[in-house]
Amino acid sequence: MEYTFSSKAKRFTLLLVVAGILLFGLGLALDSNYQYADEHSGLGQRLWADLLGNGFFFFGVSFGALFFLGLQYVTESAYTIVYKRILEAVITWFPIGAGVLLFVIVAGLAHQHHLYHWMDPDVYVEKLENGALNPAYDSIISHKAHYFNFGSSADGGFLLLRFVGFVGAFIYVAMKFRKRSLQEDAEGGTKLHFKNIAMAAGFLVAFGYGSSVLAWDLIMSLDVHWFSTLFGWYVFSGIWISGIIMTICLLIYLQSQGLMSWVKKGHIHDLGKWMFALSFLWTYLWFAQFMLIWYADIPEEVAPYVARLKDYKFELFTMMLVNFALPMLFLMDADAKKKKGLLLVVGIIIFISHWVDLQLLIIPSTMKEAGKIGLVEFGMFLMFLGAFLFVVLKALAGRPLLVKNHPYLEESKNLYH
Amino acid sequence: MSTVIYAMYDDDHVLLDGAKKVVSKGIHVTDVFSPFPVHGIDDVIGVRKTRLAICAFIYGLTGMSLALIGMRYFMIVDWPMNIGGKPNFSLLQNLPAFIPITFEFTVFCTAHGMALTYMLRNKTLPGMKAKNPDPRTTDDKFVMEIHVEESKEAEVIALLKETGAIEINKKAA
Repeated sequence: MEYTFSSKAKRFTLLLVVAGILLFGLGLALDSNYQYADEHSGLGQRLWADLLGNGFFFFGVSFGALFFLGLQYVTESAYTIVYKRILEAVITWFPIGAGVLLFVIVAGLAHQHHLYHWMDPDVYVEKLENGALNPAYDSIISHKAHYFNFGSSADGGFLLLRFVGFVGAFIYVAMKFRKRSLQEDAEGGTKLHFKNIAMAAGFLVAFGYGSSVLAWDLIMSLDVHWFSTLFGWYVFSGIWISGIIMTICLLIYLQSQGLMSWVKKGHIHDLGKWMFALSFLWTYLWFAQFMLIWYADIPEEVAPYVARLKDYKFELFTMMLVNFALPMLFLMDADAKKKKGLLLVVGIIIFISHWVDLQLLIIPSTMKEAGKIGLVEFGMFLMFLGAFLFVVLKALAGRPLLVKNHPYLEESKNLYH
Repeated sequence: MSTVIYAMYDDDHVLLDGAKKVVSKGIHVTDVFSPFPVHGIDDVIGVRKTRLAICAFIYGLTGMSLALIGMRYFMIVDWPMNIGGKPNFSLLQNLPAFIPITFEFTVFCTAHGMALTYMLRNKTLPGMKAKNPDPRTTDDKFVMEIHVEESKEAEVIALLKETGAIEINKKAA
């Protein structure tokens, strides 16, 4: 059975983009007299921060799906094989999301925006030409110069090298997974499967480093004076659950179209369990990071939390409670995890809530006390969502919805629950 | 008068298929005794859904409340301690510091409560007399228990033999 990307679905993705543009424009018009914090965090800065936030979020959705796909090979799992094609479709956004992020980094290095304080060459200069001390000099950033740059000024070379190296390798893995999946349909046998396992094992090792490094480089370095050792896993848990929710939503959509009848209650139940469990992984990491910093109360560590608790308290705690309490209360029961409607509602709410979580990592750091998560941000979210769904559904339509010669296909179809 | 029939099997798959066959003939299987969990058998013989989850929730809630009430008394009311300048006059403002212990105590109470309830309900607490019909079901054999009317006895025994039972015992109910 094949999925055809109907004109109705195309119209829906277009509608999302148009609604996004309208909300975006409305937000801009309503905020035309908005008082921003200072000249460095004005409207331009806001739009760049939103581009980074939304770009990273949807990059993360496909990154989470890619991780999950690799995990299935390494653990030799059978239960996801019947909907493996959905994961393969979600990862098609990965190169595009990476392109958006690369664009933001390069624009920053070209001084088109000031999201990253360390991209300012002045902070590395201790003494001015006339021998006086440089007031813009920042000794902490200067000590981190070699983490970001090749030289001791703001060229960003080492960061770019890492980004291109890791993301390039991940794109290669993603494209290889997609190519070999079709190849396996045609050829059969287990040769490709074992090749995939080996590649996935290598990918997971690289992912372990790469996911953390990308989170530090792109998001933690916005608060360049600050560091948190579990920041990478915290961001990773957020992108993992977003990827799972996207998979569930696409699966439910396809079943509502009368497709994928081979996906049974047990498969849905397994995905529901992931959504439930990952919510706790995320909450655990969020709380572990928050509590230790709150308890130790060391000035250099608390600074980002002080900024968030002062001006973004409502958003921070609402988002945290929604991401924690909603799955806990509604998905605790085994039967609840099998109900598609409930999974869809809870999934969409915490998907948006995880988006807010990511914006709260970026906006308070770049917009200071005057940032907000309003119509402009949400409009851009809808634009990205529309484009994301267009790309993913198009990829989904391009190949059969069920793999043919995967060695675990029969086991997956007859999953016992 | 009714009889209890014990059909013994030496393979869990044979037992599972046998149970399906027996149930499809409209005969109610009262219980199955097995040295390990047989996947799918509870659906086949129609075991009612376990209520252990409800108990677990109640135990968890008890543990959470006890931990919070206890810590409020120890750390806020009875002997407020100044630890790193954290607010020691308010449970709510000091809550993050209490969450790890609350979490651990909730898990502690849930796990112990569930294990004890499970053993009590199955009558397998230490020192209780074992009630399984045949001690071999704790080793490598599986027993299916069926209650039938005396008039149908021969028919059911024939059916059980057909499904691959290696031994059939009966006793008056």
